Amino acid sequence: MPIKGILLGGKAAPLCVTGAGLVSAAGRGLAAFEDLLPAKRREDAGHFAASVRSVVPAGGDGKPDSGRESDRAVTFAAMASVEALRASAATAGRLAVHVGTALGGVGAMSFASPQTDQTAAGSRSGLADSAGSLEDLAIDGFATRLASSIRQAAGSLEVARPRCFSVTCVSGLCALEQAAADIALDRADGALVGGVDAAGQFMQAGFRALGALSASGKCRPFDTRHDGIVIGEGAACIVVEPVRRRFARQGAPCPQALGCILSQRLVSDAVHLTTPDAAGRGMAAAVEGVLADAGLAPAEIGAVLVTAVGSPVYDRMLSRALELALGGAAEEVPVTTWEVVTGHALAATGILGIIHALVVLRRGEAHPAGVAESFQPDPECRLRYVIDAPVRLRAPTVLLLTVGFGGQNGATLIAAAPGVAT
Amino acid sequence: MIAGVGVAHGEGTLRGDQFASRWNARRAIPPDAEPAASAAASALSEAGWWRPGSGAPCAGGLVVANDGMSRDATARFARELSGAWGSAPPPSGFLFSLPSSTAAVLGILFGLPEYQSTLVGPAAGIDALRHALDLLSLGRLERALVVVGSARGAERVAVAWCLDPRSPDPWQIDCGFPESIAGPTMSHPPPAAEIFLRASEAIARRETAAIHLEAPDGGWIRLLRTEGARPDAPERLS
Repeated sequence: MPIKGILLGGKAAPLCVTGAGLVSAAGRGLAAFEDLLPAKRREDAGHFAASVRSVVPAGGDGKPDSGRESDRAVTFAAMASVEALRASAATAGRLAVHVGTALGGVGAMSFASPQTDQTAAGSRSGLADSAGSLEDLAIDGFATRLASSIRQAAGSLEVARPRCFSVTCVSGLCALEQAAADIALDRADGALVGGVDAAGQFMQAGFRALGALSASGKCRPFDTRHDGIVIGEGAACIVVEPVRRRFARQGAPCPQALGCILSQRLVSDAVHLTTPDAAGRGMAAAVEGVLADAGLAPAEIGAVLVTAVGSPVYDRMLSRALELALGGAAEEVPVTTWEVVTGHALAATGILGIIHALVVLRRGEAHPAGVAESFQPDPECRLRYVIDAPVRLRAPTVLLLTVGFGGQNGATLIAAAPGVAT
Repeated sequence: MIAGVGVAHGEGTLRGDQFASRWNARRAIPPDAEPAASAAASALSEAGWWRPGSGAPCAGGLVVANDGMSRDATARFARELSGAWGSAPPPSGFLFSLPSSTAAVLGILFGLPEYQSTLVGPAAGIDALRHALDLLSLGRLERALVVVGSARGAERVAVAWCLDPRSPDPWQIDCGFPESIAGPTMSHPPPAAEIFLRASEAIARRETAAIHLEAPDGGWIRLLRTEGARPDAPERLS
């Protein structure tokens, strides 16, 4: 398939993904994530502790086994970066680094209370310690704290100072915008782009205060019983390069691209601080924009991947947005999600969604969304959700929809690797 | 390029009723979003992109640099959690501990329903301006509002610039940072808004055809008023 499209709705060309890495509640690494993607309905669907504590002990830092207390968000980002950079096999060239996070290490903070567990995180909590930790974990210093880990992981690559974007759950997609600009303007040969957040009591209590958490503790997208978010955590990173690669690979063949990001649009609703435009107009505009930029018709979308946080407001908004943007094609295209596996991984969401799209494209099918055996479809969610069996993609293109607090809507088009000219 | 400039210190004077149909007139503008909202109002008014009370959407992207503006809210929410675990703390502390909430407020107040982004940290001012300039040069945005806010202790300041490549304003802008990863790792880097304050003052004076400002952390802004003008010797911020 010829690569066409305009990545940023301007002059930036599509980008190949040559490496991917992640750590999430599904486990550490791309393989662990893929292994847990649902194959059928399951009664325990979405009922899990969406924490990577079993993968990275609480308090772990950039060196996974050291046990030294540090910034848990930096730990996750470093792990995902190492995996992505190794997969890319790049050994020489200019690497831009752009990372998104909603709260950096602050989200993982815990506080002394009778209910607090006595893990390493719990034992250091309480206001006095927390005040000190606030300084250590403040998001303002996140990029600086991450820099040394990235430099180690990047080997002989010429690494630029990391930039830190914070736009709730679309943070990583904003980072992707700057990466595409750096490559288009020849300031970089490629870029490491990531999203990361860590979730402790600070994050959990914040979402509880906003009334956004699931009371049942289950992520049940598209189901009449969907009642809110199950918070996840983790990091997702990708290495992106131009279609005509610029990184050198010494002693290793140039890897096959995992896929290609054709186009992206980010649109704000600008109507509410936490909830989206219920009519889905912002997301619909984003979808129409990416299709126009890529020169694709709605019928050429193979599958839609959605940030299905398990919130009725968002599930229904996404349904309305796709009906607005795709018309009759919205009834045909299969819709699925990864969120039942990972929980809502906050700022990791956008890049995690891109990685999920790469998996779906490689498999050539959209997997079941992982709903419960007793699934009761919400009548206001009218899309063709993949429920019982995988659905073959009718075209090698996936549309990813990412939502974020503050009325953020992201639409990203990702295509399969075959046909990418290298 | 610079269609409007706004500067605000400390508490703002905006009222909810100045944002008809976009903000509940009985609700105050969130203090955590001041003075960014005041600076943005001044810049947008000067550019003619927004008129108080109109309620009309305002075309253009929004890029915010948040240098410490979320710290008060983060500390507040942490105190509330520590002191009252088991009861429900109010959500505003958490909401404004998210650096992007300032941009979200600006988007609602001024009706900016396009691209919105926030960069964080002491280097975020230059990074945000670079981000906006890149997206403008690539045709991703037609025009953009850049707001740089810094909070260091009780001192809070914000600077807003309306950028429009089609504007008759003669200033051309460039900016950057040393690309080395060993760049701004100073233990006490200057507030992100400081260099923008100096640049805004120089623009207002209109005394020179070229301005080149350098910050101690290596960040720089260059403004050229006429094509081919040579910048004066760099002015360094102490």
